[in-house]
Amino acid sequence: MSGDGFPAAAGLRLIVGGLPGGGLPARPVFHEEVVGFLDALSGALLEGDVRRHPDVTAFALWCRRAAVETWRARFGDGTRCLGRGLVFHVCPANVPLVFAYSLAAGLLAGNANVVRLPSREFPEVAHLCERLGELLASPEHRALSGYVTCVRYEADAAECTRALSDRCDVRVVWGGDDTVAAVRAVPLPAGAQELVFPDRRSLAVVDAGAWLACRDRTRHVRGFHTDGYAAGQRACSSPLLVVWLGDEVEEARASFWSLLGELVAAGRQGASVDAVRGLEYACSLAARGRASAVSPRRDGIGRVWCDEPAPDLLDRHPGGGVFVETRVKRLADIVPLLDRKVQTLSYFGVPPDELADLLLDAGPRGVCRVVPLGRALDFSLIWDGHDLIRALSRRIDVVPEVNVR
Amino acid sequence: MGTAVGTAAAEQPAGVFTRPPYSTDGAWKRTVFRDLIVSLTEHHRAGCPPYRRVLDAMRFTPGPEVELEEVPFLPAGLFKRLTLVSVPRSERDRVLTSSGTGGRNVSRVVLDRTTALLQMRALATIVTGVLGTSRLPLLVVDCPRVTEIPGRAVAVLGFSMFGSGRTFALTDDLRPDLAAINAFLDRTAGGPFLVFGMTSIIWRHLLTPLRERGTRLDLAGATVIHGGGWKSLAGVGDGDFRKAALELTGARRVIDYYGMAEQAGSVFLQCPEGFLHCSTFSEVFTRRPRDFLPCAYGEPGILQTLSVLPRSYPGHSLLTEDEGVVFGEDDCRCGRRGRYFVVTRRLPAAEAKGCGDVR
Repeated sequence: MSGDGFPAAAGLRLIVGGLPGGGLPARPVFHEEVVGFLDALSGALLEGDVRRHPDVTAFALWCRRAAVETWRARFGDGTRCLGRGLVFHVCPANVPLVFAYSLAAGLLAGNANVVRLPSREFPEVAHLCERLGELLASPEHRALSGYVTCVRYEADAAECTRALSDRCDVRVVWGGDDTVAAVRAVPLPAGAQELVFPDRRSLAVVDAGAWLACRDRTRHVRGFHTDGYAAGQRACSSPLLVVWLGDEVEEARASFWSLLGELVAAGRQGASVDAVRGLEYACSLAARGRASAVSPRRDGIGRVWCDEPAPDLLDRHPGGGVFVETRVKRLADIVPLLDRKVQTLSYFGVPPDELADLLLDAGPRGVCRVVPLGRALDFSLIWDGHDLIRALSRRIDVVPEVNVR
Repeated sequence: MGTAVGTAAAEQPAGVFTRPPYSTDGAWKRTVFRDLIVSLTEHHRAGCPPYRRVLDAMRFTPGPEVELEEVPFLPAGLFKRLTLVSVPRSERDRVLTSSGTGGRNVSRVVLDRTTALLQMRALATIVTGVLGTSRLPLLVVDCPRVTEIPGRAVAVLGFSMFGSGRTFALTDDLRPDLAAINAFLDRTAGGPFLVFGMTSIIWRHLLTPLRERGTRLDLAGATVIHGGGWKSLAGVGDGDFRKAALELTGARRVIDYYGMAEQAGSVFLQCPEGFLHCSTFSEVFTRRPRDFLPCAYGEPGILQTLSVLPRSYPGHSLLTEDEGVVFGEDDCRCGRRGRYFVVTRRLPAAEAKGCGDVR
């Protein structure tokens, strides 16, 4: 099990690649070998039935050359930027494909990567790992051999985390909070950096008047359906709270939820556990006087109306299709809701510049993404406020000699 | 009938005790039973402000026109988060606790003397309806210190009413106490007796050790009543349990019961056809996860249980953490009236949540 200088750790299973030896060179950011590899991976993933694993298909579209080029353009000047060396990624189980995006970011930043896959086995993870393994074994991508390693070990095997942490230059930890705390207890070399993504939650702001005036409500509701249901409302960018803005709130709500209900009802029945936990959450808010109206479950949607919203309302939110609702008179009234746990603000009918200005002006501790309805789950290389490529790379500051004549 | 809404009915559920436990049919459930449940809803609404807030949030007002399946249900898990009480502090007698799933969160159910008494009488009515009124020697498959273990103690003490000369079949370190068991069997001298225990305890600490040691017991004269422990026995079904009990102890009369600390007393007993039955004191619905509408017969759903007993806490209509199937009403081949059902599985614990949010 031990590679060059890699200490053996009991219970560590190699899923893709071998443990990287020392001395692999760091690459420049957005290196052609990496961009070409991701494009080939995209092609391989899109060959099969693209409907079978929609999240795999979304990743395949995200890592195409054309898409990566737009990321490169957004990144800006990459001159003399190269990887930090070896990135160790600890990936979560709530959204299985996080590992793929994290790995792609590590590669694009110019690093070798060791990815700890979620200990629960998912078919989409297995599918992606197989394609990764095949590509890495092919002669065209030999240059990347050693740069991609996926491992699996039990969550409590601190010894494995320690062995991998000892050798890495950056450790990336995807939460929840418990995972972050457990991994943080394992020391890093003094020169290594750490990037953590703890528990977050997200909300949506919808302007009622704009909703009623919209001619394409079905498309936007479909987007919200993806935001709320594609990851079982368990991703931290899935909206849990819908804030209504404007005067015609009742009419807009009726339209919004009935359209969403049609979509949800057309899908699967939904899990009993989601319905029960959702009811428990709603009843506990109502019993404590925090919610004034509860719609336990209709068309797979649970709803809880709160007259006086506060961030702690979402503390024990169970996911699984329960939406807390409230209304505000002015957009600025959302600021008290934006505590440090809030990540994504989805909007409809509200100018995003206005939202950005409000955030810059009021300076709440939370919110690091502002996206239109339907885009909450899109992975971005700017995540939780970090520019991932910058965080995983270094810029070499080259100072020219002063010309003294 | 059908209009007697008011606290009078809530204070007088005594009528239900005059009937044999499995004699009331669907028509009775939809009238007399419905009235009892609706008036209990009013009673709790008046006495328990948090419960009233839940009903108000659901826009529910109790009234004579309300159908039984329209009465709101609280999720049983709510009793793990909040202590809900409908009687003044001076009337609170004691607190029942149950471990619930995984044992991390504990349900707290506050009893007054009236409710505790109703629970005991209901349990007696249901169990004697099956066993007869003569008290049989009782072998409890648990350890003597079980009376100090919350959750398990409630069930053991409750069922101890129906036995005489209680003997514990396990030692305090949960091993079969063969000396105690054999002494008990000598005393029964071939006559009928009662064996009671939690399903998981009987399986793990009596049947499994017997199998491992190649020992057998002669419990052919027993009526075995067990329940409440399936959740920790994933993979072991009712059939496996019966087979093992027959092979290792010769026990043929094995009765599963379904009950919960949040509705103690109104337990559901298994009939010879293998179905759990509602009694005069209880009703069951299965609900669809999509909209909580009632399922059809034969369709799996989330179990909702109703009980006319809880007066000190709003637990008369609960959504359980179990899935089950109701097969019919009044027409079970065993001859008992009322709805009959099976419990198919315990809901899994809440799924992992965390950050890491991409698709």
